[in-house]
Amino acid sequence: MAADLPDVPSRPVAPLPDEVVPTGFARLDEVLGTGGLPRGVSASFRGARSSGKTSLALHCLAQAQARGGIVAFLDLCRIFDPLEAAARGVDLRWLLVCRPADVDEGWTLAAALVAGHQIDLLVIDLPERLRAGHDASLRRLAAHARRSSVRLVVLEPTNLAAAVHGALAESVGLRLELEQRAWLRAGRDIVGRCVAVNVAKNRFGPPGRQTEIVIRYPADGEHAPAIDRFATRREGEQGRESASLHQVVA
Amino acid sequence: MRLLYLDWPHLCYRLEAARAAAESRLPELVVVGGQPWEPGAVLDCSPAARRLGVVRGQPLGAAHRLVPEARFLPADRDGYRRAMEAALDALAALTPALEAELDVDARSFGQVLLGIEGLHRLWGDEPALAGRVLEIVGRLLPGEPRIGIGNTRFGAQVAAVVGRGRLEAIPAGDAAVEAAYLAPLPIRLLPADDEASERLRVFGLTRIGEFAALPRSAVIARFGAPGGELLDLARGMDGRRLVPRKPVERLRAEAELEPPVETLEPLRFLLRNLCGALCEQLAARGAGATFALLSLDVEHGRPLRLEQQLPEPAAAPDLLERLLFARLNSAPPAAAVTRLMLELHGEQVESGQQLGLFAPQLARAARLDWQLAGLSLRFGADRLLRTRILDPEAVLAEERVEWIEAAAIPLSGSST
Repeated sequence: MAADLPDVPSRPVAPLPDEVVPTGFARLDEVLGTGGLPRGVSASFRGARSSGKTSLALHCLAQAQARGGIVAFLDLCRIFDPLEAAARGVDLRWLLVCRPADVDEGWTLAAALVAGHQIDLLVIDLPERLRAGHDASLRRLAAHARRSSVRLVVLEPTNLAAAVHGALAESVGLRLELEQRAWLRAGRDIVGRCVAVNVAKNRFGPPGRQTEIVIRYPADGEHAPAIDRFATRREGEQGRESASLHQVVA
Repeated sequence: MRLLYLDWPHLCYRLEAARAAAESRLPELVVVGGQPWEPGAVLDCSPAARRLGVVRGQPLGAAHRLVPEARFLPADRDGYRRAMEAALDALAALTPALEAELDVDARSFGQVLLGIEGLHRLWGDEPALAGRVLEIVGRLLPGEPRIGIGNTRFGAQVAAVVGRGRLEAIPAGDAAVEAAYLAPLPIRLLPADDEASERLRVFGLTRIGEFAALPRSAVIARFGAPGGELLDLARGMDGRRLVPRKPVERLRAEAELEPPVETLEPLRFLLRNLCGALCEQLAARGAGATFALLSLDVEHGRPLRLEQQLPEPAAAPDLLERLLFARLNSAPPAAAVTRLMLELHGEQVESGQQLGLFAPQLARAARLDWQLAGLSLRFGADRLLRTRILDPEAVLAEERVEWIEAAAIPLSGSST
C-alpha cells in the first residue's frame, strides 16, 4: 500500500525562489547552495583592487532589480560609475546612490534606509584603510539589516583595519573572497578576467567551496544598447501654444 | 456676454523689478530665466533688452551673446505664480467667472478674463467696476495693466490694446456691433501667423473691416480652416467661451498654545492632531494635498514659516506629520511657540497605489519617496542621488552623466 502513495515532498531546505536574488553567475549560485543571496543576508565580497567585487555587486543589483527590487549603493569611496553600472544591466531609474559627507554619516544614512524597509539590496563600498572604530557600526548595521530583511552587501578591500575586518567577518552570514586568476584575451585585446571565488563563510549553505567566474568587460557592441536604454534625450525647449493676441501686438 | 480683459505684459520682469526696487534698482538690461551657462530659456526681459533682440524662449546663452552686460536673474516661478494667485483670489470676490493662466511658462501668463455680465447690480456700471478691479489688483501686482471690455474674448483683448492703459469698452451688443468697432482697426491685430500676415499684406488688406468683408468661401480657399477662424474673429464672432478657473482650495487648522511651548515633543503632538483633522477632510473628498505650510508664532521674534512640497498628493496624516516634524527638527523655533497653524494647498485627487504589474518597483516607490523626502531634510538633498546618462561618449566625464537629487524627482514618477 505504501508503495502506491505518492511521495510527500519534504520541506525545502533552500529558500523559495522569490526570496533569493541570484548573483548573475550560475556557477557561483550553485556553489552557494541557496541559488544566490537570500532575503536578510549580510554578505561581504572581499578582494584586492580589480578583483571583480564591484562587478559582482553590480550584477547582484541588476538581478535584484529584475525581481522588482529597489536597490541602493552607498558610495563611501565616491567612485561609483553609472556607465559601468548601466552596462552591467543596472536600471539607473531604480537605483539610489548615497554619497555621505563622511563614513559616520554613511552609517547613519544606511541605517535609516534599512529601517525604512523599502530597499531590497544595499551595497556598501568601503574605503580602503578604514580606521578602527567603525567595527561597532558595521555590526549594528548588519544586525539591523538582518532584522529588517534587507540584503546587505559590503565590498571589503583587503587592507582594512584588523578590528573592522574581524567585525565584518563575524557579523556577515556570507563571505566571498575574490582573487583575480587570469586575464581573458581575444587576440591582443583583453576582454575580461577570470576570478576565483572562495566561499569563506556561509550560514545558508556549505562553506569552503570554490569556483571561478568569468567577468567580461562590456565590449562596445554590448555596451551601446545598455547605455542607450537609459540615455536621455535633451528635448528642445518648447513653448506652449496659446492663442494670444500678444503674438502679434507685443 | 460682457467680458473684462486685464493684461500685464512682461509680468515676470515687472515682479522682479518691483522686488528689486525695495533693495536696489535693477540695471536697464535685465534677462529673467537663469544664468547664461544654464540650459534654460529666457522667460522675460526688460524693454531695453528687447530692443537689442532678446526674446522670450531664446536660449540663455544666445541672449548673453546679444546683451553680455545684462543682469541675468533666476526665474522664481513659484513666486510669480503665488503673486498671480493672490490677485486672482482677490478678484474672485467680485465674480467667480474668472479665467487666468497660472503656468508661468505659458505665453498667456499675466492675462485675466472676467465675466462681468449682470454685475452692475452689485458693483455699479462698467467704469465703476473697472475702477474697483484696478484698485484691487493695483495693490497686488506691479504696474498698470491693459484693460478692455468687449462682447467676446477677442473684442475685449483688442479693446485693451487700443486703450493703451485706459479703459476702453466696446458697446454692448451683438456681433455686428463688435464688427463695426473692429472694422477700422489695423489688420495686424488679428492673431494670424507670419505666413498668413504676409499674404494679407500682399493682398493689400490693411484694416480688419476689409478682411471681414471678404466672402467666407474665398478666405477658406486661400487660407484654409485657420483663415475661417480669423474671419469669424474679424466679424465679431469669437466662439471661445470663458472657462472659469477652479479655485485652489486651502484647508487650514490652527491651535493657540497657552502657556507657550518650548520643546518639540508637545508640538509634534499638536501637529499630529492638526494633520489628522485636515487629512480627514481631505480623505472624505477622496483628495490629497500637494503642498503644506506650517506657520509657528513665537513669543519673541518673527514667525517661523515652513513650506513643504509633498512628493505626491496625499491625505495620510502619519506621513505628513513625519515629514513636517523632520523639517521642524532641522530648523527648530528660536523661542517658545504661541500658535501653530497648518495649511494644506493644491488639493488634487489622492494618488492611488500602483500595482506592480509592469514595473514591480512602483508598488513601493511612493513610500520610498516619502522616506527620501525625510532623509533629504535630515542629511541634505545632495546626499541621496539618482543618476541619468546624458552622453556616454562625451569628452568630459562630468558631461557623460547627470546627478539628480533623489527627492527632486519622485521615484513613483519613473516610467517603465
